[in-house]
Amino acid sequence: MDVARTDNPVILTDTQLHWLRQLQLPWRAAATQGLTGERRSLTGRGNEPELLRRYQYGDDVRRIDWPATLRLQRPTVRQPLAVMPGRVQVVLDTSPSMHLIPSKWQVARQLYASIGVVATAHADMVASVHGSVVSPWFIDTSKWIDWASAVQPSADPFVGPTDLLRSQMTVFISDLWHTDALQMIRQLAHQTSHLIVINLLSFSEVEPAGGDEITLRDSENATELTVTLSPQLIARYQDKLDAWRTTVRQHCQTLAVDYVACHDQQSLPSIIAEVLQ
Amino acid sequence: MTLLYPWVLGVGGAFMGLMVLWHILRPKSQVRVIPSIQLWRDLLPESQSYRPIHPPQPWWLLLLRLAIVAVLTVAAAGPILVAERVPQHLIIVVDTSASMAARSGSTQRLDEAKRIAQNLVAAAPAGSDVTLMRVDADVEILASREPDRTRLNQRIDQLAARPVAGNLEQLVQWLGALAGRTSQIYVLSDDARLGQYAWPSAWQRIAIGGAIRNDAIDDVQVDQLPDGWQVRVRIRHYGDATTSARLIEVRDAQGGLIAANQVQFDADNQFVWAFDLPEPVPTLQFRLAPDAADGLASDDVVYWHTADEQPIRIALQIDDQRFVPAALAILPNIQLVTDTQQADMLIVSGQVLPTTPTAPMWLIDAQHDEPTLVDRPVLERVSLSGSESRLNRDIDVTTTQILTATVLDVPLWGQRWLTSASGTHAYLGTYNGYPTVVFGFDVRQSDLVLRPEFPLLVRNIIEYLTPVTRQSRWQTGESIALGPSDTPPQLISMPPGSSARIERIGSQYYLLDVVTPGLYQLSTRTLVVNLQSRVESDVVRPDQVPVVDVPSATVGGLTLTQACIFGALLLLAGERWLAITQRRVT
Repeated sequence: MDVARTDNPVILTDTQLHWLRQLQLPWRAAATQGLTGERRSLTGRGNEPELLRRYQYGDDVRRIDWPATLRLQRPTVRQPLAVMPGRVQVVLDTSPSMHLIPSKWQVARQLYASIGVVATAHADMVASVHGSVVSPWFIDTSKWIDWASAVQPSADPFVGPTDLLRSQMTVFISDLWHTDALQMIRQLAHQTSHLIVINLLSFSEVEPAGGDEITLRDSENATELTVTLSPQLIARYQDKLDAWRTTVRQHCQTLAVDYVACHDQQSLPSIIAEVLQ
Repeated sequence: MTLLYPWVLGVGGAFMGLMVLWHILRPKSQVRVIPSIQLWRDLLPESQSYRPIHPPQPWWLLLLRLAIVAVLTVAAAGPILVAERVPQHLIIVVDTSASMAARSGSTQRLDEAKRIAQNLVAAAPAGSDVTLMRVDADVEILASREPDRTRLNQRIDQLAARPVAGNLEQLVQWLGALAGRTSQIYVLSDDARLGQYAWPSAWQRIAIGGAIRNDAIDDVQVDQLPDGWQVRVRIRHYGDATTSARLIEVRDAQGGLIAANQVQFDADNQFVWAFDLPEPVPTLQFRLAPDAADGLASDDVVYWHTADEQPIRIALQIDDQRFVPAALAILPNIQLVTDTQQADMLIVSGQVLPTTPTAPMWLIDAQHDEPTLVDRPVLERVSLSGSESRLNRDIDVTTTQILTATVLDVPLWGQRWLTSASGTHAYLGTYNGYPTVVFGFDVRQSDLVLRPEFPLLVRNIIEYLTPVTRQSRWQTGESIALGPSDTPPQLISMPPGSSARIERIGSQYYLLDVVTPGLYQLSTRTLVVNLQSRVESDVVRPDQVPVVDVPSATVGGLTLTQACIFGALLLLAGERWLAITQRRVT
């Protein structure tokens, strides 16, 4: 079976691992204050060590090394090598709203694992925070996948981490179904130099099915609301959802935070491509 | 405690079973667990909260509702609380007059009386003795101070109706001496005057059925003859109630009148009528009339006159028929005379129009030399205008059907009144100086006399023939001003069951609440309330549900039935409060 680990639930296939190892996290040039290491600029000019590798879709065209391309007869980019390993931490929302729908939970775990795979593939370090569990720093891909495969859903509502690990980049994977979601993003943004928020919903949350008389029950606090899911009401809901996501996006822009909205029916590569851009 | 109608418990139990089934099987709204209802709640704020069609119902709410139904069921079952569980002397009197043989559905009234009597015997405290009596034309003691209930039930079972009228007045006198010496006397009767006798207040009266018109079509037979068919109808009168002019009509499935006849009971309280049909009719509808009100505006009218007016003297020269006299009997200020010279007007039937009339005349079934007879004309149009239009006041006879009528040749002085497609069947005018009304048919051959407004038609004709200024009409229930006087008008007589109230308002005396049909006679005035309208009357007709009037022992001033209903209302209030609270919680 084409899976990464046979003793854990399937997270990433070998094909996906192979593809992920060729990607790179979108490090920002600015150094994180107080960190021991520094990240080089994206152009990688100067005397820093660099790596020549084949051009991949998504690479910045400014990195193409044209002499090397002519020489090797294939598109080749020049990738700077980090002086110090980069550090990225992944904050995963494991609350009931995230794992109620299996496909949504599966995509959340895949994203969670993928970020670490991309990091460790380039000798960067990854750590994670989910619930009250804080992982050590990983630099080995297989160990990271072992850790990621063991992530368990929580029965408690999501509570944001009070203290983040020191890192250059934080990736926050959540459906943002918290009354204080915007405040939480603000807190995370203040604790890291580069925050990427992945707002993951299930397809049924984006396109709810209709019904005559349905009692909707909240997965976290069990409160109920009885509605007739008419096409008109669903359209109003979708308008409301769009407005909410626009509000979050604008909030992120003011905080220089990257925001990616996606759902569980999108392919993993398309989500990852959007995240790494 | 015993129950007058224990079978109601079965109905209530079945209903409660259905309630439990419904609670289990009722459609419930589908529950869909979603990650968050945050946006949905924002979409539907609390002020516009959606109320589910089938909200969840907790089991304790079901129990409360079952309790309400149970209490109401007990109330409907007619509980009788035997207040003192000490041995008593119970007297049960059962009416066995002819009217108790009347059937309501498949059961006789007497069967119902027997069942209630046996329930009363079963409910009597241990050691009680019961005196069983029957009353019809006379009073008979069937069991005196009998303690053996089996023997009592046997005697009750043996009761049978006898073809005689009841005489409860005799019973009242007979039992009068017992008043105060016993606490439990039950009289089971269908006598319409049950509530009118001077019963001691402690006595219990159980009314069964009602006896306003205790007659009914008893049997219908159809025999085939060599040249057609013969229909035999037997109508029985059960006594107790007064008889009045009745007519039986036979119609086909389309409502077309086939035959009609007066009902006249013989000495055995029966009337047998046979008529022939030349060809078979698939469906025959029989109706004893008049019966229910027809909703005409005239049903709700009070007519009256003052004693100062001269009565109208009418000479009747009509065949053997009772409808016109019956109509005259309920009209005020009418005096029937035999001397035509003294009469103010004549009512004549089956004659030709005299060449020299001596008084205003209403000629019914006018005879012609060469009559043109038509079968079953329907009065399509009622003409007349101007002052003659008073003849149509309060009545509508445009759908009247006549079995056989003469087409009248209208003379020059005549004005057409009642016409059909065949021609004129009644006209009127001034004939040799006298107002005259001519009918070309016998009123007994029409359904005109079946209508409640027939007396009003007669009244209109009389007023046309003897024109004098008369005070006319009030609406029933409307207060009638009796004029200023220092002494209130004295009420001389009034219809049975009525309670005329005369009050002085300012300088004027008023007769209030005139709703009960019948003839009221006061010292100065007479008034009539139309007899045939249910609108004007609170009289219960005999074919309706039996009325049980059992003022039994009380609980805190309430009868047990009232206490049950009161308790059910309290439970209902609690249930509503809890249900609303429950809905808010969910």
